[in-house]
Amino acid sequence: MLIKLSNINKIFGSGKHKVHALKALSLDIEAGAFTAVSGPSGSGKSTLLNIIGLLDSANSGKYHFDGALINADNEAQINHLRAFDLGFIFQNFNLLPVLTALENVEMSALLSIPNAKERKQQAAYFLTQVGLNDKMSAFPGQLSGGQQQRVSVARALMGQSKLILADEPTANLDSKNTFHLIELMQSLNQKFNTAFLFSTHDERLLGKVNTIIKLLDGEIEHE
Amino acid sequence: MNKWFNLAWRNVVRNKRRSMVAIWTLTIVSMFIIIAHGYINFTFWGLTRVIVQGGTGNMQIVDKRTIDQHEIELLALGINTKLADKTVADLENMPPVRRAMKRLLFTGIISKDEDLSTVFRASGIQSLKEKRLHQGNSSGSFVTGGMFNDTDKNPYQVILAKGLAGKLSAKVGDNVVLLANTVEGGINAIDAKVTGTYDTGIPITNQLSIKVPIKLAQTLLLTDKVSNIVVQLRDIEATEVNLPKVENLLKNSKLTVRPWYEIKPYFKAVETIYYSIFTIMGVIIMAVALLSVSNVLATTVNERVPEIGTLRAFGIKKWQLRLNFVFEGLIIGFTGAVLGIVLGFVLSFIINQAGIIMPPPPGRSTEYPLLILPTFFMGLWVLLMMSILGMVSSYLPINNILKKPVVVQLNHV
Repeated sequence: MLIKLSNINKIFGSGKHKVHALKALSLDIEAGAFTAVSGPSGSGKSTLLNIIGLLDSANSGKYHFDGALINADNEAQINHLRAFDLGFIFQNFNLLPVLTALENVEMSALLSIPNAKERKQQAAYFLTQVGLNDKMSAFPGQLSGGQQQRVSVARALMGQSKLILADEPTANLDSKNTFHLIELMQSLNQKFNTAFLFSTHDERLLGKVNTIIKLLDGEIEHE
Repeated sequence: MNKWFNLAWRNVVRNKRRSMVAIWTLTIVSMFIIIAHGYINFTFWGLTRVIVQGGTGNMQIVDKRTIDQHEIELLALGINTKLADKTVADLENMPPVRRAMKRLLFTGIISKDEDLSTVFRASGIQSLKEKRLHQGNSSGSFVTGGMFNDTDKNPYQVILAKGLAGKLSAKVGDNVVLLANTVEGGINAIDAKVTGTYDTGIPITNQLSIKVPIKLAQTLLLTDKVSNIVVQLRDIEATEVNLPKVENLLKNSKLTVRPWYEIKPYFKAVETIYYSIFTIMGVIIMAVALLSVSNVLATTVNERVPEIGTLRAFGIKKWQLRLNFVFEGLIIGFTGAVLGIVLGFVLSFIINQAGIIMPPPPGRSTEYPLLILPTFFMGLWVLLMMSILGMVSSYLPINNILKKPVVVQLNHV
């Protein structure tokens, strides 16, 4: 089991403004799974992805990643997992504007691949895998939204991550690019056996995944 | 390390206008510090020359007892000719010493004709050596006539400070009478011919000073002693280095040596005041620069919070991100300093070439040319300080941002 969440609670704010974003949530995700999290706005999708991606911590509950219990206070453990085992695709792409596509992809593996030559080779390989072999020297400002998102997919794949998390990765893409991206993620999932977990509002995409986690008011409605 | 520096450089270039504001601020501050320090340096440089070449020399040798009794003109404590001549010879054998000269200091009354008389303060001097001591220095410059020649068989000559000459209506070629107490307590008088009038550079001493051949002074006072021996070094700045050597030469004698800055203690006082003002001004300016540059760099950091969050999400460590931003501050600080130093040196050169004449300082009567003398050491100091300032300015905001959770950084607007 790659991910095992047990009784996860996440509360934002306090007093009258308290919001219970995740309520005693438990779930398992297998290695190599292709999973979508769906649900209306405010259902806790982003919160769930942030906790699984170690970008945020739960108030209570246990989280095991690849068999290891996560300690939110252990910065070294969290940094190591982020650098070696996790990859992220962001809704706004979050590419560094001063770096080329190749350098952006390389940057995510600074720690996991210390050898610069090897890192560069792998970045070029993944950019080729996402169909951007002719855009390696382009800066983000010179790429379309779809191309930028493909760069961020290649970046997430670097270092052979075990899990790639994507919070609404298609939110800023048109229909054509949306389906291209999902198909790309699906093919990479099959090729590299990397697990993908993404959130979406788009019902059309749910048919493309193996597993759907439906959230409503911080609880799993249907898995 | 290279990667972080490269990323920092690209981010500096990314927002050219904002980076230029920070760099320009530091350029102006650096230039100001270079010029202000260059002016202070010139002031001390000039003051050192005015004092040393104006007559004090690099050091003076006196009988030890005059230090305790604070009375250099008390001839009972003077140095006898034999000891003085030997000491002068020994000093002039030392390679760093350019020349050593005997002086006899005394006071008395000077009169011209029968109804014009006033007090004077005299130096009995060795004219040729004194003339060379004053070379290149405006204080002591002749208004009329010139220095007497004390190698002549006729020692009965005198030069008068211009104020005193004015009071006596004395001109070159006139005869004056010098009246003084002898060492035995009697009164003696001597006739002397005026060979020149000079400007001491100080209004009050212009009213009192005269110079006579040392032989005349000894004849008038009925003594073979001298008050002190003035030592001039080849390198005007080398007093402190050579002081122990002269002390060593005198260690078994009854004589002692005093450097010029002890003889003229106001120099150290002026130095302390100037450096205090400079330090206070410098601290204020640096604080303003720090605030200004911090503000620019804080804006830069705030704009890039989601980027910081993204890098954190990929496991980049906090210290690596700090290093990246500190490099940005370093690039801005270093560039600003280099430009400021270059501009400071160029502007100093232009000012020095312009030949600007400054009015006489308080208590003096001679104008002086304005020079700015920036130093290599100050350039290095500015480079170091501005680099540190740049690094501190960027460290503070990035450190603040890094305290926030990654998810907050990613969602920062």
